[in-house]
Amino acid sequence: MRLLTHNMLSSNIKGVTNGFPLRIEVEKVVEKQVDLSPAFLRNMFSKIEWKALVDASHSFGYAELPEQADASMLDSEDFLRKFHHALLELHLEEGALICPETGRRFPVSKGIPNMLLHEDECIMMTVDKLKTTDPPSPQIPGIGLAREKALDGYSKAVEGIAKVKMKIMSKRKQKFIIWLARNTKSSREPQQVNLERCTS
Amino acid sequence: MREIRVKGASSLCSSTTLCDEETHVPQSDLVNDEHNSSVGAKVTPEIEMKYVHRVYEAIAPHFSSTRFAKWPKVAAFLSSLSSGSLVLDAGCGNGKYSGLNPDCFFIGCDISHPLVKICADRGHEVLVADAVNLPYKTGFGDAAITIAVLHHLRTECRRKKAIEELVRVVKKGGLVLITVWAVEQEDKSLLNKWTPISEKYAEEWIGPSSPRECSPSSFKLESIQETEEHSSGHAKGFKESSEYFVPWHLPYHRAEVSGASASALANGLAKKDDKKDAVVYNRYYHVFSEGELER
Repeated sequence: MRLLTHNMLSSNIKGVTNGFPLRIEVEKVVEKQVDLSPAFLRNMFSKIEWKALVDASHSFGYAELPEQADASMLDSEDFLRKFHHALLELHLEEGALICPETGRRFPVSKGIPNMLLHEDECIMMTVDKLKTTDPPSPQIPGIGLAREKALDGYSKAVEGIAKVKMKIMSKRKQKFIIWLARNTKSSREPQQVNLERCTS
Repeated sequence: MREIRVKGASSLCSSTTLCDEETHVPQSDLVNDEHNSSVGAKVTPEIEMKYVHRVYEAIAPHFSSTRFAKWPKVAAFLSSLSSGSLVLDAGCGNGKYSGLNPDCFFIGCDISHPLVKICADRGHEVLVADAVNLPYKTGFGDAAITIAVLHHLRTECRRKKAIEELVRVVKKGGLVLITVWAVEQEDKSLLNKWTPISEKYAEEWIGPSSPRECSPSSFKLESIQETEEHSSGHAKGFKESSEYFVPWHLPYHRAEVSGASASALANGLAKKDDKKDAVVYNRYYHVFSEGELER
């Protein structure tokens, strides 16, 4: 697990209000070289929570990152190299991630974090309780109706999706549906992406 | 590759628990009847547990060795992304799309630990997580993809939740590409290979009167036959059902490798097909009809 991933991961256990950043238990860190991409680093710099990255890099034994950073530093090759190294070249190979609120431990083994929750840790939504059985709707009519109503409310809760385009297309005689959605929480116009029937 | 050992930074990893993690099968913890009685979007139905998670656990190496053809439209989508984008792949399988655009960085997740391990061995950045409940900050990704994943989710609520999660984890204006199997198939012979999940089956599994009576061992795969009659009213009958078991033929010589097959045969998760020299697993699929995702 790279520190890029650590900067994205957040504990999503039921009842947790701020699951970021996950505390790191370090057992073993490995280093793997990757090519530096200034475009990627510039893009990520705006998303990264810098303090979490610095703290995490300290726990990995890397102390080269400045305590504070701003976008102007991206012009420095030296800074880019250190940022790149901390973000992408250091891997937590063995250890664990700890939820900052509950102390729940997510193991990291052979570089792979296991973030799966137990069922009692998952958030339950009230609307789901109507759907306890959730059958194929045409087959059990009464339950199907309740389900439709429940889903009506549910789909209203799903906001910010623009359906850009949907196509049925085929690949080697098997048909697939391709659907492109856009997070429309911004005011930008949906971008049209051309997805045409595949001719394989 | 250089190894760095950090001294003093490890607080409670001195025990041997880490060694145990490797053999730990997370899904087994989740099969918990008490919790299955109230099924929410984030509670994994038993059918997914058994006919998706456990099957992929068993067939992962063989499945992966056959997953190399890339869908051209997915490739086109990925190459349309701007250089330096962060792409989140939910249900990444063996990671065949990761790295398809070398100018983007991919972080994949899958619920199948063996598949995730294959990705990691290939050098991809991956983790084990549930697409219905992504442990990601909101708006961190530039784009997200979920390729041939949603049809493995049992309930509409979970499918919606997975879409909602994907939209949540991309930035404002970010794109999410979703592909699923369609119910309208051109090749009708394909349908004969799929087994519709019958009403009787649905009642047995999820009927309100006795939802918990079907323990995994009591369910048999006898009803699953490739010769099942679909000839009359084919298209019509097909439209009526959206839930299928789709077989995966694991050749005997591959079954030895994965090791899990013997126990799968013993507990009824798989059966032998001597004609094809293969262990047959059934995977749960919900196939979509045109327009369904837009609802």
